[in-house]
Amino acid sequence: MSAGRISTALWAGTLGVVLADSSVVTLALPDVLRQFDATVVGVSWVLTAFNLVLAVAILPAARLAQDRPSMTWALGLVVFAASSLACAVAPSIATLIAARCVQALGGAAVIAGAIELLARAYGSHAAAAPRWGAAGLAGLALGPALGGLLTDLLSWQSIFVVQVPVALAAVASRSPADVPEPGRNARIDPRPEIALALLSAGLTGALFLLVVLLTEGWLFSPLEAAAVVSMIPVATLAARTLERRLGDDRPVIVAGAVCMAGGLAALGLLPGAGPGWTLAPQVLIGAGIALALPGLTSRALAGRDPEGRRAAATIAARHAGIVLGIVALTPVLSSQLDAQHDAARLSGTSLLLDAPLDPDTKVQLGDAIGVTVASEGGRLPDLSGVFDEVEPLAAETAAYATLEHALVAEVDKAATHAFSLPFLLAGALAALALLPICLGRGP
Amino acid sequence: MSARRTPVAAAAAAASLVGLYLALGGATYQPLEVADPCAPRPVEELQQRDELTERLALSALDGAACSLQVPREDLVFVVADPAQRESFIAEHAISEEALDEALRAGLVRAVDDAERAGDISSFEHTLLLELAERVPAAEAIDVLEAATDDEVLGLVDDLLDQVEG
Repeated sequence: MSAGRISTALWAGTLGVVLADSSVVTLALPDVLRQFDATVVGVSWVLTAFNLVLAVAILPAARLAQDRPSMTWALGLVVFAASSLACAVAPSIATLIAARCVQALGGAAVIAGAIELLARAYGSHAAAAPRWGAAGLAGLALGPALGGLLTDLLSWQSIFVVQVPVALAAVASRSPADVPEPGRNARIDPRPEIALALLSAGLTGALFLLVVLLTEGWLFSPLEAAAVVSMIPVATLAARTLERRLGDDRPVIVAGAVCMAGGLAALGLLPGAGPGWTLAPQVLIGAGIALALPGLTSRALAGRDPEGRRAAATIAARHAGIVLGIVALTPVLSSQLDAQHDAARLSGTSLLLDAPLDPDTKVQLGDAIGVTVASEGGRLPDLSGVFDEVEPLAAETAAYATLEHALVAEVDKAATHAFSLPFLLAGALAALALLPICLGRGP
Repeated sequence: MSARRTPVAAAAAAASLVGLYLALGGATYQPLEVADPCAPRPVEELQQRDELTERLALSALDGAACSLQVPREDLVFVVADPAQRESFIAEHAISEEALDEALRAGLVRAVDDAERAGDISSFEHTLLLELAERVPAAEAIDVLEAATDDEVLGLVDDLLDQVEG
């Protein structure tokens, strides 16, 4: 591989790593939540803060990168590496969120520098866009799975530690001579950016909500959850061949948005608890990403972009969408979790009271469940071990097993139903993207 | 497939999946709604006398829950755990007295119903009414809930002795 190709691969790679950071900690959030005894809303700021700062900082960073792309990129990597280390050793949730803000500042510089360097290497921003677009898509889609893998095998801190040597090693790469692109910026059409923001909000819903459902609702390990949510990038990769064959005309983008909205709506209407029910919706969402995002990105970057501002605006739109998704959906999820916790408590109590068991067995079981529920601190409890703690009478073994099955099912129903409204809202955000896509003329 | 037909294909796929999940019960996959405490519950004939005290306690809870307009299951925690009593009172904006009165009225109604159904004798009816009048209602229901029928008369005696003591 030539030195030039190594450099372009490094720039695209570092951009992918930074964009992966917007979602890489998703599967680590339950562990972070437990370690710092935080709330769902509080821990969501580990994601929100990064994406918000990145969305705000990317445009000023693009201006800086226009004059000194290599320095901006390298400086960004150093800041990114240092703040990643700070994230790994953060002693509190507040410190972690603060370090994530600094990490996003460094990340914005890395992205802006990498986009500018790639544009100069390929001759124009339009020519470079497919490279960084693919790297960004891969980072965003693979981030949760990689984060889950590291969290399960090592710890959530390892997600940040492994980024340090990667970022520092990349600094050593060389940059080509600057080749400024002539001409002026084309008139900016905001519709593709708005659609990108809304679809990113929906995609965030798909990843963030699905991960929390799997780990906190259905009590899967991060590794198991990573395996389940990897269906989205797998479907995206598979559908990319379809997208290449069909092109990126408006009907294909519309089809992508419809697939994403439909997949999210289906996740909001799951008829059972278990990862199998999420696979078909994930396939639809993954296919929707492949069909909609490349076409929207190329529309957002259409026309001349000598200063790389449209590229930066596209990145900003995506991350603003991610912030919109998290900020809009997390409070709804939090209130739904509380409501379903209460609903499960009442329905479980009702089943226990009406069970054909000896009163003494019921009291013992009620006490054991009470201890488990209290130890979960407001989260939906895992009742799988509770029934082993009480010895039922010989004559009531069958009724005892029936009650166990019914109570576990009630908790599963509550855990699943808590996510219904947030998923449906995420689907509505994705469906809203059809408005800017369909408005106006053109193919 | 041509690019123009992809929206139709996508809409068909999305609608099929959503329709399938709805048909399989996706819209109703949620925890069971608890029964209305004011609505009569199906009454099965007592298989053993052991079931009597529990039935009395649950019937008393239904009566109290009905008058307070709360789920019976909420009151179980109030009766079983005094620590939850304060949060219940604050959450439902009722007074201590109103809660006690509702529990007492529920217990009296349950005892009367049990006598009418022939589940208890008139002597047991008198003794249990005495219990309802003189022992804190939450305590009385809690004892009934956990007791077997063989124990109940002894427990009632003990409680009355404690109150008098």
